Amino acid sequence: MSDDLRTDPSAVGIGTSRRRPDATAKARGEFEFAPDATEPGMLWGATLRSAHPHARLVRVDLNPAKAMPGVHAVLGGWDVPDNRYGAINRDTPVLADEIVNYVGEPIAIVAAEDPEIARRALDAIVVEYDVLDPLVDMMRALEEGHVYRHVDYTHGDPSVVGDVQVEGVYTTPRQDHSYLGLDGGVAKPDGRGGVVITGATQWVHSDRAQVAAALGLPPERVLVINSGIGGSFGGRFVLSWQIHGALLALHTERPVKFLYSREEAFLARYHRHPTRIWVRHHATTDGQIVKIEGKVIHEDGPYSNTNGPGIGNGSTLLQGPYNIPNAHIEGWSVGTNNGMCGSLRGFGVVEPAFASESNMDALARALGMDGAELRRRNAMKEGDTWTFNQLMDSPAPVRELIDVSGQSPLPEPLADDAPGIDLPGGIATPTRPRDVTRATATSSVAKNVCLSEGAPVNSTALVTLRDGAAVIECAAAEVGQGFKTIAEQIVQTTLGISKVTITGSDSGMADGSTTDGQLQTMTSGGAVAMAAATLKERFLKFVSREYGHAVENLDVRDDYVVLTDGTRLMTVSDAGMHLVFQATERFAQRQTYDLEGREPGQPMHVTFNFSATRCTVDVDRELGLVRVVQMDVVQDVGRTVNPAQATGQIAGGLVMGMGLALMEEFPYADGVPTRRTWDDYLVPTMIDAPRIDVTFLEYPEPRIPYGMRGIAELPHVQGPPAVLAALRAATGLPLPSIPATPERVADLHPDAAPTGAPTGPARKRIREDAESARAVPGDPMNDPVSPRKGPWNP
Amino acid sequence: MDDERISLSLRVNGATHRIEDAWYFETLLSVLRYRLGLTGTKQACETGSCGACTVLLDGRPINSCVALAADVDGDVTTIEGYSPADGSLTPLQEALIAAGDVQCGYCLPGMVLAGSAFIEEHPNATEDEVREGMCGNLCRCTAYLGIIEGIREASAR
Repeated sequence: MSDDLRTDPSAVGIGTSRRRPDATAKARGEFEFAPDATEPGMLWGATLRSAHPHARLVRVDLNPAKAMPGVHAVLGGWDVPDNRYGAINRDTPVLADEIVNYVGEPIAIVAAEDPEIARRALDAIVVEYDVLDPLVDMMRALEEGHVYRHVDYTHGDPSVVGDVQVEGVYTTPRQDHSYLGLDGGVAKPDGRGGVVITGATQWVHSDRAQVAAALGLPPERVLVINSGIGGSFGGRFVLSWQIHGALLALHTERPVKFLYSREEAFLARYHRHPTRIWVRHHATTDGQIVKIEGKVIHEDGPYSNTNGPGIGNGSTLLQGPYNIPNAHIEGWSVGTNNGMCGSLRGFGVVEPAFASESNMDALARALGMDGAELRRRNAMKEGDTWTFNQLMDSPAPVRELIDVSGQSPLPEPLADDAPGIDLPGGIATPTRPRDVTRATATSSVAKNVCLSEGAPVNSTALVTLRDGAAVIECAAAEVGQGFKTIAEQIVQTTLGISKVTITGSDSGMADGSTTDGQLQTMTSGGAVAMAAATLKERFLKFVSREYGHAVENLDVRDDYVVLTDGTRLMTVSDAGMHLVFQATERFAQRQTYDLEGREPGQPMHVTFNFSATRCTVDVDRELGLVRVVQMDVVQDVGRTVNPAQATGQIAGGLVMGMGLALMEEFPYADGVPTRRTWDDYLVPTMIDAPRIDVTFLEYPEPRIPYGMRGIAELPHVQGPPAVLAALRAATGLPLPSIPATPERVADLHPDAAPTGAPTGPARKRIREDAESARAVPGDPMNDPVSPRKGPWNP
Repeated sequence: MDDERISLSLRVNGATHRIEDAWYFETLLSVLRYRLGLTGTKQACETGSCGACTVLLDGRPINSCVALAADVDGDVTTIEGYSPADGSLTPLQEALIAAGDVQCGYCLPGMVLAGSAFIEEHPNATEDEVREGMCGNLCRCTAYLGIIEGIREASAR
């Protein structure tokens, strides 16, 4: 590996691979993650969950559980002051009150002295169900009008017809986040009628508002503290155990710990929505795309949860990173009884990117054109207009990304005596090198960066300087993505000092936005940069006053106050005279607007990022076994703050996308999930790990400090199209569905793929209603966005 | 319920612990984490699938989530016992984090302990040897590139 990717605890500033501040504690096992939280005298919570995908609760008798020794509280839906919650739409019951709508839906909760007693208490609760027919098919849900959100838009002249038309129906599965750190933590009474929740979340302020509303408390009576977060990937945006823990803590007046088992995490938590997407490209015979048509269906579970933005992203990013003058796109988010759905890395964009890139592969075949060349020819560039009528007003170097991705050396040919571990199928594979077909192909993707369609995207940071050392306070969640490291680097570079640390994150601080939509580097990072810049200004004014230099002649470099010609005057520490200098700044991304009904010039998305990948696979076509050999990915990151971390995000995201491409699926049969462990739900292992070559382009993001742009979701979006393009090149099969399991790659069921464009329901029964979208006090999602402020945002 | 409770002894990181009133079916992971407070051993899958709970039993890596505490006979080393007492890092720990692949880090204690046993037996390990020998340890954040690199470096003699 190259030296600039080795982490160094003493590296200073933007552009270095400064080591994560928590790396040593994590390697020594001393870093406290949410499942490690403990309190003296704590009880253990447990949750009774529905065994049926759809049933009326005839009777729920908690008394046998209440009577058990060691059991301190047993609560049902009627014990919840306000029994509906949600991070965006508030239509999810805290505890089911009349009807259960999915297997795993919580019905009752228990607090007991020991986890085993709590589990036994659950067994003692009597639930009588009146079992109803579950709705388990997304197409039936669409036909019957179980629609949460329908979008329908056109661009240019939707009647345009191309000389060449290629269409397909593509499906993507339900994917589990499968972060290693189980959902859990401790809720404890604060002694003043409120509650303190120590756990793991992407957004402490959203959690606080939801917990407080459910408990009937004012927001300030709830404190949400982020402990160590063992991965997230979009999976900790919506609450899991937190309200349950808070209810039990207040009832028992004791701390209550929850810790889901892996099986419970599979059952209880939301997953990436399965989709079925029809797409048709129209092109000229020389490969100019003239129109895209699409119909995108998201299966979005029994409650509307976060799925409005999901289908908004999904229907608009179907276009991909190509300039297409005409379009007609429709999208539906529909409800079924197949478990909760919600955000997962690349929310709403992984699926249409797979569909449209797959159709681009088919279009290239139909045109007799190289896939990379077709993509180059239609590559989006700055100044183009998206089909959803938004100007691409920041860099979009798609053609360059494609070109650069083709410049890395291809992998060595497979040796005749290659061991099993280097072959499709792994260590004990029956495949022999001579059975292997190798192919290489190129794909390219785009993703919106930040939350879209009017969602607030802003963050506040406080920076304090004393004795030459700075401390950052920002509530942005560190889920492993590396925000804390880059925040330190931004302050080091902005202030010109080396000693910088960052504190923890809790809801008592100013709102630090959600760790979602690859937004934190350019949002909380922006706030940190602005606060540091303001702080430096105040500090230099002080130095100017005290030491008699004109402020415009002063600067700070390498921990020294210097004259602008570089002459060192004194250390920052000495210059500060033990005084405390502080600055707080709030950075807000530009206002966005709903897809429908925007005025000209009003953006729907804040900004976008782009990548291209050349992927090489080895395939045993008869056995359907696949090994991804190498991925050469090029991504425009705006500004590389930390090369090691950026590489880690991109390579890790690609492998997660490769998992979705080849193996990850969380299926339901008649409304019941059939995989509940990592022995059934497969995620990539070290055996599956391909060579990955990461290259950055650095076209600065306008309007953002240091030109930084979000990074972390796009690689997951890139994974499935990259792998499938190469697989199609190797097999000649259309492979319209992921995961491309051995059965599919060996083409054992050639007729199984669906065809044809879906039609919308004749009779609409839109399930969205005013009640589900109501705001609660303190909810940052419903805060008005204040005007943007700062030197980078005139 | 009383007939389901047992007392047991465990030798962990050089000390002998007497555990009273444990459930007879409690796992080693559960006793380490919730009775001895050794939370460096991570709970993640409970089926022996991911290696996050790896501890050493007489120097050999085992998945503590599928080991019955009452069955354990030998010296258990957890990440707390493996890590230098002065707060520093072993060469393996340093190599793993220098290679740049720490993100959430939940897999890391298990990686370190499994890796420590692996490098004992595989001096100058090749990339393929690491991929095969360490494939019982899952990481969901990274692409394993730095983990493979770090373990190879630490195996150099």
